[in-house]
Amino acid sequence: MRERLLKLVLSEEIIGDLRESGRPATREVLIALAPAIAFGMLGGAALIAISIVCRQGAYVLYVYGAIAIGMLFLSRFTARLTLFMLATIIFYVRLALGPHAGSLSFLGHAWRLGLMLVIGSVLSSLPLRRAKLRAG
Amino acid sequence: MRPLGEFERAVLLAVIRLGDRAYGVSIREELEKRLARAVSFGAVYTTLDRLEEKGLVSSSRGEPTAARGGRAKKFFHVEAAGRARLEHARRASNAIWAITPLREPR
Repeated sequence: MRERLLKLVLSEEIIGDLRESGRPATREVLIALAPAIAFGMLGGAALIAISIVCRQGAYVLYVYGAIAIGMLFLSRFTARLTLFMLATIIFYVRLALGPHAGSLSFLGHAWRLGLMLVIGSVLSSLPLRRAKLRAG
Repeated sequence: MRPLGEFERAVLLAVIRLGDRAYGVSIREELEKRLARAVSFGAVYTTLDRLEEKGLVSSSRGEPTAARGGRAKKFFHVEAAGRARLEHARRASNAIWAITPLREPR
């Protein structure tokens, strides 16, 4: 189970090396996901900023375009999806707690986030690659 | 041609020093010993992958071992182009040091 989870983030070589050397995997996982977490937080902040500055909702698509380009710099599906969903969830929480938030049911939130998860998964699985980051 | 970075040079030198035993665990241990700082496997493999894309190192698979959970080691070897780039980096570095009036602290 643990190795299956590690496979989502780390390469087979790194998992083998960790097992042989007996070193903990936590640091490697954090390093592997660090660019995705940093870009995700930055993307979430950009989505919030654009929604405050620009009244037209369509402007968030430009930020999502930038997020999609950022995803190309990450080589693994899990890292790409982490970036996309972190930015989305940060933005979503801001909208859900904001002054213009409607009264949505649990299902209303669930299908919206589910739809974003599907979009993020499709984008993350595209066989495109821009470049590698140092730790990614 | 972009000059080799400090970590790239260290990785290439570690691979040369280790010879036939150059794979993830041994390269990381060698780097931590020589650089006196913590090095992640992620940083080692990202650098090695980049050097391989540039044709400076090559890799081959060993036999799967039980200690690695049935996974094979990935061994690395520095190619002639990699050695030439290292030599170029050393000449450039020596040339800079030669014109720098830096004295040993008393």
